[in-house]
Amino acid sequence: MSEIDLAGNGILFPGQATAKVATASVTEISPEARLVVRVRNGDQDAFGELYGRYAAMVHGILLARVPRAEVDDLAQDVFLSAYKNLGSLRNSNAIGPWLAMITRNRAMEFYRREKKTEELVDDVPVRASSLTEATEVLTIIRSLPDAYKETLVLRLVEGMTGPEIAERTGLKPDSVRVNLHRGMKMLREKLGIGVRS
Amino acid sequence: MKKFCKMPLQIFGLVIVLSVSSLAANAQEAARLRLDGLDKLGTNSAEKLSFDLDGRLLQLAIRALSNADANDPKMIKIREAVQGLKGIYVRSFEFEADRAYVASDVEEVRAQLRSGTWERLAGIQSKKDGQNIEIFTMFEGDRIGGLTVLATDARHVSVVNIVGMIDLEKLMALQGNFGIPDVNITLPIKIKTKP
Amino acid sequence: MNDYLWDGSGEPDGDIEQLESLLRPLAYQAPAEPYAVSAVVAAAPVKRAPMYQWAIAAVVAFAALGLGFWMIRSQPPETVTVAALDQRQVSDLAWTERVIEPTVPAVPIESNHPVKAPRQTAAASGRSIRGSQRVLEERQEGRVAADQLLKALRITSDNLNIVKTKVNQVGASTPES
Repeated sequence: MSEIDLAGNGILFPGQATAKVATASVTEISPEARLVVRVRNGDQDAFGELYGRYAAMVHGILLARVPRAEVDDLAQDVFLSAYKNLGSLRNSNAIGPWLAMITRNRAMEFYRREKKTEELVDDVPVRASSLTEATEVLTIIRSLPDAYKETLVLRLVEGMTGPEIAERTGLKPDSVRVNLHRGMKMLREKLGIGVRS
Repeated sequence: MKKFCKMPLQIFGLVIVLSVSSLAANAQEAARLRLDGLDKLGTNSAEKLSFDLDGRLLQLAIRALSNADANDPKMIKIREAVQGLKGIYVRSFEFEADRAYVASDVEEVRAQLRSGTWERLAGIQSKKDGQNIEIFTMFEGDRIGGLTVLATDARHVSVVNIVGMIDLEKLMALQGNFGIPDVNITLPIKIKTKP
Repeated sequence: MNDYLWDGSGEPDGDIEQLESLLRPLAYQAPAEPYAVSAVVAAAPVKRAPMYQWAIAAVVAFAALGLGFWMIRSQPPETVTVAALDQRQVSDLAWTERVIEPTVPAVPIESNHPVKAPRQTAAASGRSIRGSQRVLEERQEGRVAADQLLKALRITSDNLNIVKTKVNQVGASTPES
């Protein structure tokens, strides 16, 4: 059996009569979408709430890609860019995936500007050994494929659950599951059987 | 103050041109998808078609089309269809066995198409064969500034991402053999026409 | 799959727990003060140059544009030395619409002296050959790119039409309400 769905306006192709096929059902407006509407109406507190909801996600996506020292500044850039360009977001329900996209693009732009082809190694001063070890593990996570490293950082560092990762980034839950499972498997192989204390 | 008011149009024109071109560049970048995550599918595929055409290469291609068969009506249609293009990016794979790839391999592309700046224009899905074709557009004002076709079935993954001003009608008018070479990769879906 | 990895439920996985406690210090730390947009926007002020600086920039830009146009227009068209090419190269160059003109200057014939080709001729010929080779390579690149472009157009067009055909079929078979 085939299913067809069309855009809500009912006219798919020029010259075609109005489609008789049922259009997609009306999407429920999420709380995040309501916040987007408030921000567009000038409510800066609403943007603060959005920030609170997505800061960990933005932080995690950046942490998976750029040196730690750069994460906070780049996160500010991401939110500033989001604030300025909120008008271009056509689907308010997709604020999370949109922010995730801006964040990944910002990370790529960071490397283009730095003109480095290899990932920068964190310059960690001599501190508590556990923080050094944490940075070493993070470096190993960063060496994994993009899809795995991002999901693992969001889960293991930022403490987001699989369903939360799916909801915020727009990835399908099944994909997040696969990424977590495969990513964890690769991480175990790279670390040895378990984490050395 | 009065002499600054006389500067006129030229300065404002320059500012507007610079702003518009910077906006256009941003829009172009937004319409371009990251497809490198699909490259790993090429290691297992029996056939693949993978290239990025933009900037100088795209101009060379359009120039080559313009120089050959300048009066051929089919070539004229093709040239009209590509007139506003800024880039065209293709990743297309055919596998020898069913399920040689997993849905999550394509998920990164889908996630970009759900990011809020793309709209799903249409899609068909056949549960029986697992065939799926989705058409996504990105609008700049009331014109289409980006088009993505994502087609998959058990043995095929095909993504075509087009950036630039697109006329859907002119693109669709290219159907059929307009001197367009047969692509080795067969299309995912064949419609059975009623007798 | 390990439920604990997915959503923290079920039997805890020792390795994962250790990783979580090791990596948690690297996580995002919410600030004490609520996020203030105005603070961020204020932190990245857009410096506006005084009006006269914009005016100067505009004048310089227009001057540069004008100079650029003048330079392009005053540049002689690229020419190719016919004598340096073989027939195959000439026919390929027919792809372009460039005029093929000899650039070797005429050498005056003097009865008592052997005709010597000017030193510049060899260098000029060398540049012309390299120039024509570049043109050929560019042509070849263009043909390959054109082939790719046409394939992409075919895939796109066919898929668009498949969807349209399917929609029309369903539309035709759906009874009027």
